[in-house]
Amino acid sequence: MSVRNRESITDHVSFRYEHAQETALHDVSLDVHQSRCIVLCGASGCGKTTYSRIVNGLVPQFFHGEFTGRQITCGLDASTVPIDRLTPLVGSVFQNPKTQYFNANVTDELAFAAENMGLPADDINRRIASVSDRFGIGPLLGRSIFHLSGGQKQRIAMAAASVLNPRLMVLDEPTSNLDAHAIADMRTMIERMKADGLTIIIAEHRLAWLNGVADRYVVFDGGRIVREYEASEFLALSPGCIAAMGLRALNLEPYRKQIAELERRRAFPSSSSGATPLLATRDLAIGYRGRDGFMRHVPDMAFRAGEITGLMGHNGCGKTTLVKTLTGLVKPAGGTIMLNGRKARPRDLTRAGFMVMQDVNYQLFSDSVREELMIGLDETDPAVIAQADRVMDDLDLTAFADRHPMSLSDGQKQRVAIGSALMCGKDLIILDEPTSGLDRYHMEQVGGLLRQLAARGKAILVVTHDEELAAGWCDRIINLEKEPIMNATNMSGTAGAPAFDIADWLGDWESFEHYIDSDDPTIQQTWEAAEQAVLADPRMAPMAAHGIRTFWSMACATTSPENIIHIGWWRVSEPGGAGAAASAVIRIEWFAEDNTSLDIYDYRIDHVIEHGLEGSPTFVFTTDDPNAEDSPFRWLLVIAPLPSRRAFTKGGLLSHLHFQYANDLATLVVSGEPDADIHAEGTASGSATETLHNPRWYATMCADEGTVQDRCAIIRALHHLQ
Amino acid sequence: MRANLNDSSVNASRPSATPATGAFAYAVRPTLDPRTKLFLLLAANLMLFFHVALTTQIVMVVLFLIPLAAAGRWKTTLNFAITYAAFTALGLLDPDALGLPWLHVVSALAVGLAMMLPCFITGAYAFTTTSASEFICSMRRMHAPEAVVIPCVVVIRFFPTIAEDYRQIRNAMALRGIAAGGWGLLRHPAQSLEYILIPLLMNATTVAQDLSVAALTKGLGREGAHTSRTRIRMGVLDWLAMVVVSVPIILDMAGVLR
Amino acid sequence: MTSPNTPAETPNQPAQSVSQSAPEARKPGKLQVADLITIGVFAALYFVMVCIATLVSTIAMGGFGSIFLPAVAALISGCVYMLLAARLGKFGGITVMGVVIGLFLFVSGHFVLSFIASIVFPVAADLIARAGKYKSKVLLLVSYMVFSYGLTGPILPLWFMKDAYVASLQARGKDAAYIDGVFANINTGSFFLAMGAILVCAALGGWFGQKMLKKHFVKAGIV
Repeated sequence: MSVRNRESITDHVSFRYEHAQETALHDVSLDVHQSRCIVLCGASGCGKTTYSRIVNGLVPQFFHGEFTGRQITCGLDASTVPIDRLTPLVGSVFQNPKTQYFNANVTDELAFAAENMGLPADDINRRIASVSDRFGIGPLLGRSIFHLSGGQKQRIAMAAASVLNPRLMVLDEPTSNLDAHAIADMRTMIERMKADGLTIIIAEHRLAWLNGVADRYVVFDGGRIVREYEASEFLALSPGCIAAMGLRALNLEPYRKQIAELERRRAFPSSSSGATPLLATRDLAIGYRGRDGFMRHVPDMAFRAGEITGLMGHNGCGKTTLVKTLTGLVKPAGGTIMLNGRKARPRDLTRAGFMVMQDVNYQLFSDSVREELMIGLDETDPAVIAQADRVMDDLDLTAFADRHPMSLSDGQKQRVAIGSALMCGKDLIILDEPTSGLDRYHMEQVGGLLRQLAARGKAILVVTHDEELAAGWCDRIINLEKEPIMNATNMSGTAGAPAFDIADWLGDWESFEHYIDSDDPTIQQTWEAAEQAVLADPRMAPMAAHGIRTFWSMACATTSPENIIHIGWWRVSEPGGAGAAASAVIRIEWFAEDNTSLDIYDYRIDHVIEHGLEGSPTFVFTTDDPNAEDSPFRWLLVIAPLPSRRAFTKGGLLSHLHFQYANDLATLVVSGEPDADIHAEGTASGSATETLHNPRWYATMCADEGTVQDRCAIIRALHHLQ
Repeated sequence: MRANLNDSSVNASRPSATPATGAFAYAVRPTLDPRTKLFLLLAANLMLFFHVALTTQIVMVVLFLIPLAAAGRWKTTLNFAITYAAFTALGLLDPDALGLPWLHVVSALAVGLAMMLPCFITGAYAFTTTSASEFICSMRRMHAPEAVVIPCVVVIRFFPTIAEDYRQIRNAMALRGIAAGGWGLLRHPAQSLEYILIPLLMNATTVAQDLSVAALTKGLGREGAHTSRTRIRMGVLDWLAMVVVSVPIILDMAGVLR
Repeated sequence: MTSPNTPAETPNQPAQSVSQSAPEARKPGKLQVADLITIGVFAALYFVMVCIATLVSTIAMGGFGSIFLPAVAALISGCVYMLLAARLGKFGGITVMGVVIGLFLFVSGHFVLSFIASIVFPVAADLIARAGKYKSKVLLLVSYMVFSYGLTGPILPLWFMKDAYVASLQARGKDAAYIDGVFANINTGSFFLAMGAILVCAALGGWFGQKMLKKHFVKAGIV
């Protein structure tokens, strides 16, 4: 093939980092062709990250060292040309969501690369609009990046890297810190990029999510390329072969089945030994009361000495809060926690438990490993010294006894932190994502360490996304995602799928947007109050940055990409009449702003999403009416009216409901299975891992009756005011 | 994200197909150009320099509070107004007449603080109503060297994360039983400083490296002009504000208002 | 991001051990982008120290507490300064940090003359440190003491305060002798006390910073 078709040409490149002994890359040659997706894999330290840095010019211009050979990226010599010449051609995404954005604000970050290139303001804003459409980040614009989830941050990173329409994307372990949903999102983004003709180079440990997207796999070892595989060849390799190369599993199904099995086990908390559990919770509710009202109940759980429990669930379901509550760093919102059978206060919990944080650097305070282990204890006591020696021996740290903890590798730092926990005599040890970014060998090491600790009689809790770790080393698994969350708007409790009762829905509904523009002074005052309340809460304040009413009108207007029509009213009635389908449960007539009737359809319930809009159980209605084939109202996601209309007639809050709609369910919903066929028409998978693209952006309908007071009440309630 | 976009003609009828630029291009609350805010700041400082008379000071404080209120920051405006009123009143006290000579100190303090208040008012206005993007854009427009602009961006980016880092470190310390309790930190101050600062600094060096990598791959190191997505323009209101604010000072210096 | 030369077992975890080859640090000459970012990070930290010092001095001593603000700040910021100097090793870093801090203080409403102080003293400090090639411990300590005077800017208004009150007293008809009597002690004594305090606190803080540098950062290989 001619040179023109190769986006990246590596010609006998060798590189050794400044101050390092070994070479990081040795005589590497690789050609990457246009529009192909290449995956670089291998054990830790094999050179794949270094290689990715060569492609975008970071090596040798930022990471200095000895560089020999030639690297041509998009026609430019990457090792001599200044990095900014490569910027419009190569987009880079790195692994740590927290430190790869340079600006504090989403829109500024998106504009950043374009601003550096000196583009005019109009062009920049146009590119921002285009990129936010492409990546669906419209609702995130203008917000502070600090408050986004890891998955959202990575999505912003991908968008920001695409602003200059690069030809080549280089990704360095982009999914290290992401949960299953965010990984599925990442995959979709990459598929989209491929379809747009970009060349993609990804260095990764976790390979399963790339099945079907990658075209070619390049295996590195010790700085050399060992073998290159076409995708079909690679996927046909046996799991044993993959493991021997130090790679993570390609097929996660067996692990997931095992995890499902372990989850079932946790439903039976009493173990055979019958001993009092070290830590047990009863009716525990975690979270914080107050305006944002994030509170959730967690199932009763018990942690016993010698057992390894896994805690899984997507980010945002409360794992971190739970873990902080169990260690007494945060007060429980309700219920009790019992330590060795007795009610425990947070102070006692902090004394009994320990957490190895995801970023261990916050936990190391001394200048030598030995000192670190003896912090807080009497260093002159020979018994303490002897204990420290024993602990170091058990954890293979004796060789590093006098080294500064910060000079160790991450795995060694983890062990130092665990060592300090052992020295304090902690019985409950919690590890937060100990294997993110680790290759197979090191993951197995961590697993071995867990077993070792359990054998010493500690109770272990591992918070993880890593299916291989969970399936291989946990005795049981708790999945917080599968338990219902309660928040301030639906504290009435919604365990499991709600029953559908047409009586709750019958009547006329009016779009919430009408309240936004209302002329009534009382309503306007209520809006002012709501705005003040939102601005006062730092977590919610960014939403109201441009006025709370603007926020709501955007929310009402951007629920679906196809939402080009402002919906004014609904009329809900019983289905029936000529030709009505037997399974239809509800008839909805849609009205536009000017009161023209747009459509009228009978809907049936396709399935229920357990955690849909605002985390509540959401009905997925669909209509089989042939007239609806191109209609944006074909699929309708809606939560049950709150409260029901019957309840409202008896006095109480104005009924309201939230909804989204689209012609195709896939526009609104992403299935958790990366290889599920999300383009299928008709029934979607309905699995518990299904989530919405935008669970917090929806249109709202309120019952079309009630006085001005009722409307003010609902406005207040939606902002959690009293 | 199968964002099937309808063609733009259909979207034209809606305020903005995406909230991207439409919604956020306009300012919901009007604020002045950053350079005008700078002018206000300098004016406030001038007042301090020239020991303006009380009447001038009162006029200026009222003038400075107007943009703050216009930007919607009612509570802040009210706080400043009340504080100023209180200080001025205290300053007007006559301690000797009340027979309490030590009150001189309080009065002196009040007068001094009242003098500094205009600076703080304009400072609060500048700080809280200017977005990072506007701030950087105006610095570049005023030809500040990149050597100053880049660190400023980083300060804005890094400063908010320090509080979070601090909390993590304190949690870690609590789990280890170090410096626990309300006054634990003060019992061994040097040690506490070490325990808190060292992880913070270590983290800072790592973050600095990551930020550099991220910024360089996005072209921060490029020679030549860096533009901005924000457009700042001196409007009629800006010039008016500058003139209005200068008038009392000039009158004062000329002796008219004394 | 992988740290290039930690020992063989090198997992790619998000928060990496700090690169032991501070990439641009040893390159002589101009400040590179990476240096400017480092300066920004440390300026943010120093700013936090200043905020803490403001809090402490205001609580401890009420309105006049800001006299001791530079002293308190000097006491706690030693580590930040020493690490920056060691990490950069070239001219301009300390100056820029001083200027950036001064800029933020000015924009938040502090007296504009304090901005002048935040340029003059940091430049002097930078020159002193350079004289020792950023390695001489004694010169670095002296440089830190000079740098700490850069924060005296915000104190200046206090002297204006006094003048203003004097002016207002005069306007009310008190005679000069009386006024002098009231303020005699408060003036020169407190001035020298404050300046002296800065010297002492900076010496202590700088010494502490250098100790920490050696104990932790040099040992961990970051510097």
